[in-house]
Amino acid sequence: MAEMSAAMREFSRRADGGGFQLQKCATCGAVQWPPRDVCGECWTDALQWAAVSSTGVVLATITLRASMEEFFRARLPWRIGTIRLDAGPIVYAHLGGAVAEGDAVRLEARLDFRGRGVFIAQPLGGDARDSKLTELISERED
Amino acid sequence: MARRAASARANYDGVALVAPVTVPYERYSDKSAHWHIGKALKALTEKTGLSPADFDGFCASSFTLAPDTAVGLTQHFALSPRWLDWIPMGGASGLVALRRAARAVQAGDAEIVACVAGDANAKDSFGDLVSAFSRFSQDAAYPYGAAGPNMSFALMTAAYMKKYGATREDFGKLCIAQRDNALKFPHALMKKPLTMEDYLGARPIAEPLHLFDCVMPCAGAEAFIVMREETARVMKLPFARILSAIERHNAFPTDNIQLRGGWAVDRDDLWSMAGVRPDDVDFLQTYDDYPVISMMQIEDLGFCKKGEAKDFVRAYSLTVDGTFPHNTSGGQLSVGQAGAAGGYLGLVEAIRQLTGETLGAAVKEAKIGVVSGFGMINYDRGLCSAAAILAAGGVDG
Repeated sequence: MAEMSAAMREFSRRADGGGFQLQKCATCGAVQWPPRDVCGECWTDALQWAAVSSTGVVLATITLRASMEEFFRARLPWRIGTIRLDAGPIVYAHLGGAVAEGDAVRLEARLDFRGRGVFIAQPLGGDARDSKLTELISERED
Repeated sequence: MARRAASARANYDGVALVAPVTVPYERYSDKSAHWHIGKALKALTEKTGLSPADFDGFCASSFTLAPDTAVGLTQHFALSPRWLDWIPMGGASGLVALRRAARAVQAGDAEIVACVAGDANAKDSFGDLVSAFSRFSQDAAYPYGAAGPNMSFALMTAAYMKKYGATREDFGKLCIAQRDNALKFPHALMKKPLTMEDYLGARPIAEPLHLFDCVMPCAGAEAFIVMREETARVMKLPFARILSAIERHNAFPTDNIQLRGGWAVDRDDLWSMAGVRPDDVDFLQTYDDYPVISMMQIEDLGFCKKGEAKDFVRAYSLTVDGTFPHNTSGGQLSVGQAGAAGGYLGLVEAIRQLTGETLGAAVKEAKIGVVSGFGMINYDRGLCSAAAILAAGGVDG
């Protein structure tokens, strides 16, 4: 399994099987991303995993033509984007289909080929997962 | 030159920056970060006549020194400093080192401080550095295509182009001018002229970024010394002075995508403390791992309005022998990015320009220079920003 923080490992565990849960502060309500050990807003450690809204808006997209990992190198070009979740945080996501800047999207959390929990942005009300994204979440390197 | 009313920040009077040195860059090297830093320290002694025992302050930056930090280096180099610092701030390292060392010298905590940054770059080592760059990056950025900083800067560039109407030609103009400067700088790894055709036709890396938008990682080191002005005069060492300096971390944390940096928060202090205006500046060294961030620095430091750097780069040649000299040694985009030494490159070049010790082209009668730094893409944005206004030793402040 890839190197990751304990909090990220917990996110990944919950993403395995398709749950969409992020940490939410029991004190101030702030939703966290990336995973933390203490609330990034009020600094209490009352973080609880909770099902939160999985919708958001795409802020920008890019197309990768180079990568440092063989999995992606073998499947270039690869599209990713930055998404502002309605629940608050900014996340990176793999992009399904023709998801473009300004689009409202629904995020899925899944385990990738190295056991890392990752986000996939899908069009609202649709599944635009292509074969590359299917491989991203179905293959296991270890 | 008349100074304006006092700022809340204490001045840097009495502090001298001397001995700008560069350990020549190599694309790949089997030599360690320790070797590169040692070579830089040796160059400091050769340039000044100082011996290792004369350094009572030491400050280091490196990404590839693990498991060591500055403290381990004291034993490597038989230093017994009474002031020691370790600055893991990437592209802001040089300016943060300058700020801290200057205060240590002013306060009498140290007399002679060696500030150094150096990194190794063995083949196939860059991926290891990038994949574990920070906890947030490892958990929530690297898994999205394993593209390292190319990913964040591509997103930033896409958003910047869209919002402000900058074009690839604008970024190209900046890169080409830097290459022109680099052709005269002996340590630049890029030795061939760059044309707009070359720039626009380069292969895509992370669209909208193409090959010549992306800095090339390499091995190398940079260093300088901070001491009292009085000491520099006695030793007859040419020196530069600090008129003002700022740093800021995690500025504008709620911005959707980074289109501005911490310079925009602190630039009024920067200019008022220095008592000079942008028009007084003879050259600018920005941190340029990608051209978009240089454009943001030109704006956020106050050389033009926000979003107008595209017009700014169209209006000036940006070359050493032309108008508004920018990144006079070629910058990282043409010289190479030697890890944390990338955060020293512009500062060391600025000291060279102001002390008449240039290795490449010299800005004519350079009296005032601005240097800025930017570092650490911790997740989706660069957290550290810093800048300084420097003056030639002879300028009457």
